[in-house]
Amino acid sequence: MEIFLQTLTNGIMASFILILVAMGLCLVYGILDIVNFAHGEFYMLGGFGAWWFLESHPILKSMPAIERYIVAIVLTMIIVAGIGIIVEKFIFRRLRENHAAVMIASLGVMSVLQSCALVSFGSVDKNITSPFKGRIELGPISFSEERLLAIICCIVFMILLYLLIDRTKIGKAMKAVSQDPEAALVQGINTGRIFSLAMGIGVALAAAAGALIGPIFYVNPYMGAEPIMKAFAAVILGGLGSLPGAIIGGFLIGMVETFVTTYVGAHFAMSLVFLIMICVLIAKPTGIFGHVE
Amino acid sequence: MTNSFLQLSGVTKIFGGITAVNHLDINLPEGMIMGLIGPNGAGKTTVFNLISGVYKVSEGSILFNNQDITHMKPDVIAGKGLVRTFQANVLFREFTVMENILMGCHLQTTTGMFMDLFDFKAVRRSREKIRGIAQDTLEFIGLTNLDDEFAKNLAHGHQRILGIGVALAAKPKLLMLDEPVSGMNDEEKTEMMKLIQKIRGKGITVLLVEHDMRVVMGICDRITVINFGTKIAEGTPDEVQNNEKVIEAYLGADK
Amino acid sequence: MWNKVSIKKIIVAIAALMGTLLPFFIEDQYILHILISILIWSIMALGIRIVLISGHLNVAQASFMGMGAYASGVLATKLGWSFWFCLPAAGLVAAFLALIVGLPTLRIKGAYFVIITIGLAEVCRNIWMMWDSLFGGPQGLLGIPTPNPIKLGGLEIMFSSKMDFFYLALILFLLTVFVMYRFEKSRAGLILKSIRQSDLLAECLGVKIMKYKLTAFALGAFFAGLGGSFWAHYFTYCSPWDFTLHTSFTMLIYVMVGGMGSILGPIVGCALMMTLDEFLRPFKEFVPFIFGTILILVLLFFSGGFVSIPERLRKVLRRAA
Repeated sequence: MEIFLQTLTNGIMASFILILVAMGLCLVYGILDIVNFAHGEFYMLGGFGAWWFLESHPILKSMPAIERYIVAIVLTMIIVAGIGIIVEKFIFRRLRENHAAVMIASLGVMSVLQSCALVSFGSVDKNITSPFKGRIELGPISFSEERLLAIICCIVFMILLYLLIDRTKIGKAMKAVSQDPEAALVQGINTGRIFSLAMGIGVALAAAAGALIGPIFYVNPYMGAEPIMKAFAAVILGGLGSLPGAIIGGFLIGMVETFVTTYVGAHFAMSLVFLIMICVLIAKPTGIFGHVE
Repeated sequence: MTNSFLQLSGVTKIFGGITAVNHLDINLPEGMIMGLIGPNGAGKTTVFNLISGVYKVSEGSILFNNQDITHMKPDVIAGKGLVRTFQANVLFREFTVMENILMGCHLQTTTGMFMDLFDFKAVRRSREKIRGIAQDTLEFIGLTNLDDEFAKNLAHGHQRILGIGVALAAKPKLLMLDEPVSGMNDEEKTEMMKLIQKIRGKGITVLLVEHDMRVVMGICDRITVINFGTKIAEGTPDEVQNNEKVIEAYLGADK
Repeated sequence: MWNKVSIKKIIVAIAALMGTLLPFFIEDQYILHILISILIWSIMALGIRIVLISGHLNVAQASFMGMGAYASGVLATKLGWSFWFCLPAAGLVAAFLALIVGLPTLRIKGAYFVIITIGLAEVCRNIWMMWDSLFGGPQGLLGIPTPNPIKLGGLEIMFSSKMDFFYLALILFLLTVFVMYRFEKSRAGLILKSIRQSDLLAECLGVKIMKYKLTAFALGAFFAGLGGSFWAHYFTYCSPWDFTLHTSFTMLIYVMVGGMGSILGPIVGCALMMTLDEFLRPFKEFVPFIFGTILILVLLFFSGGFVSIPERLRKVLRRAA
C-alpha cells in the first residue's frame, strides 16, 4: 500500500512534468504545423541552463536561495526560447512547404543541440542543489519539497498558458493562425510574429520542465531522448493539436509509465508506452480529442 | 428509376453534430449533363466526396451503373468508371503536363507492377497504348503544345483544364466536375463550356458543381439545387430559375 | 549519337569495371574495409530513399538492417544454416516485418509514420537487449561464422580475406542498384512520386496507394536485411548498439546530403560522408555536430543534395554568360 501511494505521488509529478513538455510540443504543432523532433533537446537545454546559473557560474550568488532559483529558471526559459525562435525563423520557416524537410531538419537540430551540450558539458551526470531541501510527510507518503514545487510550477504554467490562449488578443490570433495561416494573414495578423511567439513559448515550457527536473534527478546531454518519446505518446493519445488532449494524454502516459517502471521495470515501461502509442495510431489516429477528417 | 446511371437514395453525412448532407436523392440518367448548385456551404463538394468514396456515407446508398458503390474506396470507384475533379487545382505539381496525363491513364495499363520491371513485349505494348491515350487526351483538351511544361508553372486556367484532362485520361463513364470554371475569365469560361459539351458528345455523363449561373444554365440539361445539405428543387434550367425556394435560398445567403 | 543516355551508360560501365578491379590495386586492408562499408551503407541509403520518394520518412532503416543481421546470425548459429541460405532468409524476414509494420501504419499521416518508426527502432533494440537467450543481450550475438566457402568456376572462395568480402558487397550493391533503378524507371516509380505530391488525386485515379507504398517499404527493408546479413557474417557478431536510431539517422543524413532525387544521390552521400567521417576520427565528439550542421545547410541551400550541384553550377554559369 505504501509503495502504491508513493508511486502515485511520483506518478503525479512525472505526469505534470510530462504535461509541460507535451503542451509545448502540441503548441508548436498546432500553430506552426511542425513536428519538432528536437523538442526534447530544449528540455535538456533547460536543465543545463538551470545548472549553469545555479552551479557552474553562480552569477546570482548574492541573491537568497529561493529567489536565485526562480530567476535561474526564468532566465533559462528566456534564453532557450531565444534559441528556439532563431531555429524556427531561420530553419523551419524556410522549409515550411515541405513537411518531410522540416522533420528531417528538426532531427538535424536535435543532433546539433545534443552534441553541443555533449562537447560543452561532457557526458557525466550533473547535479543541481535545490534551495528546497525539506521533505514533506503526509502519512505514509513522503516527498521532497522540490517535487511539490515542480508540481506547483507546472500548474501555474498551465494556468498561464490557458489564460494567454483563451483570454488575450494574442491568444485569439494564435488560434486563428493554427486554423488557417493564410486566412489569418489576410485578416491582418502578423503570422511571423505569432510563429515566433508560439515557438518561444513551446520550447520555454520544455525548458522549464527540464529546469524543474534538474534538481530532482540530474542533467546530462542525453536526458531529452526519453521525454520526447513520452511527449509524443501523450500528444498522440490526446490528439495532435489539442492542448486539453496533451494534458490528459500526459497524465495517462505519466501514470502508466511510473507504475509500470516501479512494478515491472523501466524497459517494459518504455516499450509499453510505445505500444500504446502505436495502438492509438492504428485504432483512432486522431486521439481522444483530435479532429476527425 | 431503373435507367438511372447514378442514383443517390437518402444519402446523409453527419460530421460531429452537423448534418452536412441530409437524405439527398439524386437520379442522373446516362448521357445527361446535370448541374448541382446551391449557396456557399450548401454541401455540394461534400456530395462529391461522398460519391467518390473520399468520405464515408453516414446513411443511405449510392448506386452507379446498377452497382452499389456506397462503401467502396476511391480507387475502386474510379475503376468502375466514375472519376471526379477537384475544386482547388489538385494536380501533380512537380510533374509535367504529360506526366500528369500519364498518371490519369493509370487505369488503362494492362501490365501489373512486377511485369512492368522488365522490358517484355506486353509491357511495351501497354506503354504504347498509354502514350496513345495520353496524346489523344492532350489533343482533346488542347494542351498538346504545353506537354513539357511543369504543372505548377501553368496559368490558372490551363491548370483547371489539365485537371479535367487527367480525369478524362481515366476514361470515365461518368465525370464529376467540381467548379470547373472557378477563377476563369469570360473567354476561358466559354471555352470550358464548349469542352464540357465535347465531353458529353463522347458519351460521357457529366455531373457538374458550379457557381457561375451563366455556365450552369447554358450547358446543363437538368439542375438539382441543394441548401444546407437538403434538396430544395430539381428540374430544367427554366424551372429552377423561376422556383421560389431557389430564389429565396440565394437571396438569403452570401453569394 | 552521343546523347545523355549513352554517356550515362558508359560512365556506369566504367565505374563498374573500376569497382571490380579495385581490390587488386588497393593493398591497405583498412581502405578496403571502408569501401565495403560504403557499399553496404549505400544499400541502406537506397532503401530509405525509395520510401522517401513516396513521401514517407523511415527513421528505422538500421533496425531492418539489424533484423536481417540477427535473423541471419540466429539461423547460422542456432540452426547451423549455411550463409547462402541465411542471406536471402534475412532479406525476406526484414521484408516480412516491414509488411506487418507498414500495413497499419503507412495509411496514416506522414509525421505519425515517422514517430512509429522511432518507436519501432526502440522496440527492436529492447527486444535484442532483453531476449538474451536468443539474441545474446547487450553483448550481442557472438560467434557468427563467415560465409561458407563456395566454388566459382575453378576458384574456391574462402572468405578469409577482405577482398572476398569486397566482391560479395559489390555484388549485393550492384543487385540493389539494378532493382531500385528498374523499379523507379517503371510505372511504379512514377506512381510513388505522384503519391507524394497528391495521394488524394492518385487514389481518385484508381491507384491502389497501399500496394505501392508497401512494396517500396518492403523492398527497402529487403535490401536492408541482405545488407544486415552481410554485416553479421563479416564482423562475425551482431550488437544492438550497431542498429540504433542514431545509426538510422546517420543513414538519413547521407541520403539527404547526397540528394534524394536520383539513385546516385544516396551513393554519393555515403561515399562523401563516410570518407569525411574517417578524416574526422580524431574529432569524434564533433561529428554529430558537423554532420547535423551539414544536413541543415544542405536542406536550406542545396535542396537537391550534392548530386544537384553540377546542374546548379551549369545554370549559374549559363546566366553569367
